[in-house]
Amino acid sequence: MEIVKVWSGLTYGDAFMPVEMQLTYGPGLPVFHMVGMVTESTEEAKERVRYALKSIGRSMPQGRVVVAFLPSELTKSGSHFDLAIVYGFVKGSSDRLIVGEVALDGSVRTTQHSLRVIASAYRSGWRKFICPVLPQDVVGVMPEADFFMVEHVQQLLSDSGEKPSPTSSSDVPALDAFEDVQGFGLKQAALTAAAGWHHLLLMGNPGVGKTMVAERMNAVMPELDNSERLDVLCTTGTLSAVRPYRFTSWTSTPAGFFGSAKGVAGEVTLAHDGILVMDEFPQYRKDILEGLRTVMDTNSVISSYGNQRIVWPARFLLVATSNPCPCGFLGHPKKVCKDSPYQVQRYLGRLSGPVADRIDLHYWVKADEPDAKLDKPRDRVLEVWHRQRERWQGTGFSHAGQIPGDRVDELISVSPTVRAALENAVEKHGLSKREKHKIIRISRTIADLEGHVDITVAHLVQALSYRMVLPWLRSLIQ
Amino acid sequence: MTVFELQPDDPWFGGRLLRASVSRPIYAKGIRFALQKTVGLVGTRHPSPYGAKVAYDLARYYASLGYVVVSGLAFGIDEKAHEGALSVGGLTIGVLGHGLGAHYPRATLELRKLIESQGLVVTWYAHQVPPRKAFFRERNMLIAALSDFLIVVEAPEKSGALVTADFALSLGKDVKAVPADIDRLSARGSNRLIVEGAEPIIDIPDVGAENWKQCRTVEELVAEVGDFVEAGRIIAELQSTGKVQLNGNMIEWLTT
Repeated sequence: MEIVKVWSGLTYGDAFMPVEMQLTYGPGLPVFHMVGMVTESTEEAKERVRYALKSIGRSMPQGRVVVAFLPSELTKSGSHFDLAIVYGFVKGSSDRLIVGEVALDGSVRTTQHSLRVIASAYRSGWRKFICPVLPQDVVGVMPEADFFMVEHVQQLLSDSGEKPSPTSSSDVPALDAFEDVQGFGLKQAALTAAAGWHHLLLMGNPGVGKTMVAERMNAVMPELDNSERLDVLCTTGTLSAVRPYRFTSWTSTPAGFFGSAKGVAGEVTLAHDGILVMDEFPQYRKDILEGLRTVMDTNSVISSYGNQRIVWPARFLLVATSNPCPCGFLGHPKKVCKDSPYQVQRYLGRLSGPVADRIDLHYWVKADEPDAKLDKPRDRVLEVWHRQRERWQGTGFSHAGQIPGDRVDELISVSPTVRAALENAVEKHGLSKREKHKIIRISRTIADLEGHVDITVAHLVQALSYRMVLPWLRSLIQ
Repeated sequence: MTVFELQPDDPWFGGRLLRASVSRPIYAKGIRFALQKTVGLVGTRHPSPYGAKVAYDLARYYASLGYVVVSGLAFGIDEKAHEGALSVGGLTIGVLGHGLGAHYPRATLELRKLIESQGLVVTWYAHQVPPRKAFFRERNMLIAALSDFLIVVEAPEKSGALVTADFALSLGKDVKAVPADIDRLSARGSNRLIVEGAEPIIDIPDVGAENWKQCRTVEELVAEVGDFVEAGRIIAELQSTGKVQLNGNMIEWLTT
């Protein structure tokens, strides 16, 4: 009895797990068995495969048909195994990775999950694929891959037939213009955050446009490079020319925010390599704020469920917005804050927790800030990215904001005068070590933005002014 | 942070204790900085937000003029006065009503440690002596003796701050008081002091604000205020209140 072997795969978080599928049939009552922990979406392949075969004038083998998915202890879900089964029946064994969903009429389709399987397989070394027709941009991120694309299962039979070419890429969505943001200082702060990958906390009274800035930050972020696009494809199964951007609300639940072990990515993963906006930051559930700490330290999320453990990537630029107090009017030029000092203390206390500690830049957003046009903001950000990437090549860091405290002194060199000013500040004002590292990191980015080789005391002052917003707010509490 | 014992005739006091005819030794912990001009800031342990803010601002003002701020390390006004002095990197002396080995009230322990590292904590009492009610009266006497003049920020009738004021007056020192609402119980004592002749404080001048306005660059501001932490704080405040805009290292003043 002949055994046909074909390959397909599964994703675990953004990791790839190859699945060997063995097909065989023999005498017995006519049944179609699938073994190897297949879930409903995979099991339904039986009907799709049966009619897809019929559409090209073939039929299922007679008798007892068995398809085994190996390793059999892992749960298989998704409809992208269909094409591999069809291929096994009509063509026999193959060492290509076969991914794709088939319809009853024999057409072959892409699913989000199948794109994730292809991308993660490519990343783990697979190069030969049989798959549905992919868009041009998806093909573009995998330049070394050899795709045998099929629109219809008929094309599996005719090797010589005309090969379908990739479909055109999806349109680039128009970004809201960064120039819509009002306020020169505000734009500067946003630019610094984007240039050095510094997490940003925007504070201000209600209605001054905090959220609006957060929404427009993406417009100054450089485009994804090829390996980042591959990463995004692996985790989300979709590809866009612009960076991922996730606007989240404080009503999020931990599973929605961090992802579940059942294979659904959370907001932090969907924002990987892009911007994660947390609107009304202090209102988020405590378990989310606490959980975010490890995520930001390791740039990944671990979700465990039963015997499954999934690691998702989560390296995002956090842009948080917050009111200064429950009523929102602390620090308002005219209105009076109605909260008790205790209430305000508690509210601001949430902004100095472990997560907020990892936010480098704080900025107070005002309603009537004078505006001035920034010159080519996106190009300047890109320039800083290049400069910082080059500087820290080989260290595993590409942005100043990503350097952890214990490596700041080693990786960011500071001139003796600046070092002396910092030491003096530590001694005289009781500046903590962590605070000192933040100031050095921000100063480095400010210096890079201005095109300076060395950090000067003026850069330290500017960096420090981004750290003194909360102390200023505290001084207003009466 | 060393513990040391000082006799009342120690030149460090500049004769302040001799003039108050004190004969007991003083135990001190912290830095032995030069004691030139001093101001005492005292008041209630339960101040209104107004009193707390004024205590803080007054301490900032005097500390930035180079005064050593003397207070009692109690909750409330005392605490704010010490904090205000420390916030501008100024010097402050905390006077305890017990030995250096004890602490009361617990809420100010953290502040006391900060003062020990950046200022001085002094007491009449030997190391392990616990606080007693009568000691705080004696402590007030020491505050009055160490201060060149005294400001009562907010004090109800029958307040320890008024006791301190009496000591100061009997030592021939100036006593000033901060006026407050006439229907506020926690300020009746300090308001009465004004009626009895204490000079009311009606303004806290903004130190150096005029000088900063001359600054056109961040470097100038740093040179003007002395160090970059203070400069950063000033910029954050001026920027947040919409008074300046920073363009690179240029400071642009906005007319309001």
